[in-house]
Amino acid sequence: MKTIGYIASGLIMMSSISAIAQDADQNPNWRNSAEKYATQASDLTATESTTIQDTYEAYDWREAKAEEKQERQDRRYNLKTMRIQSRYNYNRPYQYGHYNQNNWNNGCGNNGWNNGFGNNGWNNNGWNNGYYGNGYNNGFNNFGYWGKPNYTNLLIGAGLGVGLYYLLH
Amino acid sequence: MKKLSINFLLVGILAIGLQSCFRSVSRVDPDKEIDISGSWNDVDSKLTADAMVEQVLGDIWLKNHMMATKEKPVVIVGFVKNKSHEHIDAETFMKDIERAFVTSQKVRLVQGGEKREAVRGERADQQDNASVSTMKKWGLEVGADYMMQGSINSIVDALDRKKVVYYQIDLELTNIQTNEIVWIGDKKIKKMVKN
Repeated sequence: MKTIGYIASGLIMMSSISAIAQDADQNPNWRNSAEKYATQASDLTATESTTIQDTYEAYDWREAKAEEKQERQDRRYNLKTMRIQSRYNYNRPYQYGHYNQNNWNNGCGNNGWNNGFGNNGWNNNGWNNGYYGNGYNNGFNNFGYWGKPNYTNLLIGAGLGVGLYYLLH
Repeated sequence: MKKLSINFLLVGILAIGLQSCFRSVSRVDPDKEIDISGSWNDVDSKLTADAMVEQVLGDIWLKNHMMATKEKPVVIVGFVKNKSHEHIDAETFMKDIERAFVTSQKVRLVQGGEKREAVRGERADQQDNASVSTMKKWGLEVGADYMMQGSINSIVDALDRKKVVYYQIDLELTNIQTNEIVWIGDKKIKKMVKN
């Protein structure tokens, strides 16, 4: 039924195109173009009254520097955690391996503690991304603690603080 | 002495704690020029709209069309391509231009894109739900004579704490029948940003 509908609409479109009279100076092959664009009309008009975003990234010296600094910090932090982790892994079997090899080492050392805390929880998902990328640093910066403080507000706060102190004493 | 230093410490902590509690919001005149980061803002949009309206309504294409057809030109707004380094929505200045077309009564404007689809949807709905006397007919839309299209380009030159940003906004009107460009308007904005 749907196919019949498509065929019928196509036939109507074709007949309407051929019904248009040809002008004296008109290209005799105009029907080829009309048929070609009649099927694409809705796609070609979809961007009307819109802004197509085709932006590029401009090199900003300050942003690049800040990015490099962040990368350096991340690298240093990762090295530090890896060092701590390797020390932990080295010491663990020596301390507990002999005494409780099956329970502690497999349960806590490899699956529970190390993966949960060291690899998945602490380093990759929880601490590292949270701290540097999304959670801690950005959250903190946005609320103005690590950015430039508002000195006027600081002074007002100090004044209120002194006032409160003298009122209470 | 020890008590005094503790007091100062307490006052300091209180001050830092309270500073986040203060936030000031005030209404400003939309025509007031405020530049904060140096990025594209409302002032640039307004400057572009003003320049484009002046150019498009004062150019010879309008006179030529009126002389040839004895009727006002009908314009449809096409796309604007933002090829700059920033996210810019052209609708802010394009709407100002459209408004100028309508209010000046020199140019007729027809709807395009999503809004036109919505209008056609409503017309289709009327065929089933509206009374026969108020139902709108198919195939009586006004065909546009010209299409307005445009582009936004930018050049950035930065070193250390200085940055020069150059924007060029181009709009053009193309005759839909003949494919002839009848008008090109532009607005150039250059900014010097010091951080």
